[in-house]
Amino acid sequence: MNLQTALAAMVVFTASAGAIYAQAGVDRPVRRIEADAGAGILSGGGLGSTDANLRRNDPVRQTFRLFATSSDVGRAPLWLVRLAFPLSRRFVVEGALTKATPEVRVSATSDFEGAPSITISETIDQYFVDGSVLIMLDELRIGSRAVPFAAAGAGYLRQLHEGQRLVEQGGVYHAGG
Amino acid sequence: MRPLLIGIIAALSFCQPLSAYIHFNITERGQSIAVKWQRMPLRWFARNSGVPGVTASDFQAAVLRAFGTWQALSTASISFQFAGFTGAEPFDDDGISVVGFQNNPGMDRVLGATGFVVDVITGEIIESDIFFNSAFPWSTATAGDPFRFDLESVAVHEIGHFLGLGHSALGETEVDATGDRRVLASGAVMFPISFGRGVTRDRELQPDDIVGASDLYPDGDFERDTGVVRGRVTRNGVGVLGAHVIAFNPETGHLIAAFTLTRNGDFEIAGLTPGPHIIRVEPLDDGDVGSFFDATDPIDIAFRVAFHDRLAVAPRGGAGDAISVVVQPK
Repeated sequence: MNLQTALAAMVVFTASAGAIYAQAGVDRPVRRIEADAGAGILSGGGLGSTDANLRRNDPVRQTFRLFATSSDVGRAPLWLVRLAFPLSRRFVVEGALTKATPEVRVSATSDFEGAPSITISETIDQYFVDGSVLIMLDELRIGSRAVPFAAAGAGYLRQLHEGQRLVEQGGVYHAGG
Repeated sequence: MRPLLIGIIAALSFCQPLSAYIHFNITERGQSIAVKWQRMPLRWFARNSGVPGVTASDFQAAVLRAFGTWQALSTASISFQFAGFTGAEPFDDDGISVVGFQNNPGMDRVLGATGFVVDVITGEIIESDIFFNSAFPWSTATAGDPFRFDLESVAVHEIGHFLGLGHSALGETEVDATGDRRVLASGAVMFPISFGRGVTRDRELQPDDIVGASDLYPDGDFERDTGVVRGRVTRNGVGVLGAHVIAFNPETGHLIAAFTLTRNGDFEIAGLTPGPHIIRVEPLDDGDVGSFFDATDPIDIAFRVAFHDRLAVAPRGGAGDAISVVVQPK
């Protein structure tokens, strides 16, 4: 899994959790903008291992490891702002902005020529903007306060590496309820 | 008439050492100019003689495949055209590029070599010839021959020179009981020492070769879609000349390398996939330093291999902030 995919996946989870929480109420008044702000934790995780391989001198396709690397992303605080606008009792549109600054760590070890092992870290500024449409399924109301809903939307992930010189970006699409 | 320079400036030896991609350059009025072709397709002739085990037809077919390997690069604008067989010899200043066998037992460590006629004002290659030393046993067998050198593999290397690429130091060697170097592994077809008899793996280019050729003859959006890492290597506050600098992208697994080419220890690695890279610096100790630099250059090999303590970011279509790598004496 590459870094961008991993971080995107984690942000989607967090953003979706926020959306579900926001729909816990019922009988939402129409034409009233709802604003939420929140904080959370971007969970860390391993990003995998990659060996720096050369082509080994043998007739078969073997590799020769020059050194090994492994990467992970650390836990980081995450900040979220969300705006929801009910178009009717059935339809709601909402948008959210999430920001986090996780630290990515890469370790280089097992160097063939004995270079001392090292762990290198980099902080990434990560922004995630997404928009969703929610359909409130009032006919499936559970009790007096819980209303199931269906949601679909899309988001844009933007990452800035240290020095702000490299932008990585990607789209995220989600559907559920 | 423009002044021309004729010379054999690239050779592949099977036991002589040599380093990541580097371009041939000439200096004109204080400016470094890349030696490269300026018109495509590049026409080449095959010498109409074979050697035991390889007919002229086998030879032409193997070399044609090797040219095809470079021409197939999607990120480089390179095309070749086989112009026919000829009785002309490689390295004759005859205005045509000839590829063929020659018997040269005196060059007992050289499998092949590439020579150029270059316009020293513009850096344009006017003619380039390749010879394969028929003092060695050759094979064009599909799976290779354990007792012979694979012609296609060596041809891919020499055609890299034909295009204007120098040697790459991306490889590891060991010195055997006879004092000769043996390649343990390489990260570029342009590594100067052959894998040896029976090994055909250098028929395929590696990322370092591809970036080298694409940087010299960029096609499409290569320059826009790739990035540059640049910086300086110092030891005790003094620039290190000739340090081998490797950029490793953990996402792609690609190794691309270059040298510090000034006495300030400056280096630049272009053609990188955008993203963070691990930078590793090593002395030029897996080959003959003289194969890369002038004998008079004060190449520093008395330092320890080290990783840079930060990730170096190659931004898309540009260069990141210059990095400073400090190495320690051995």
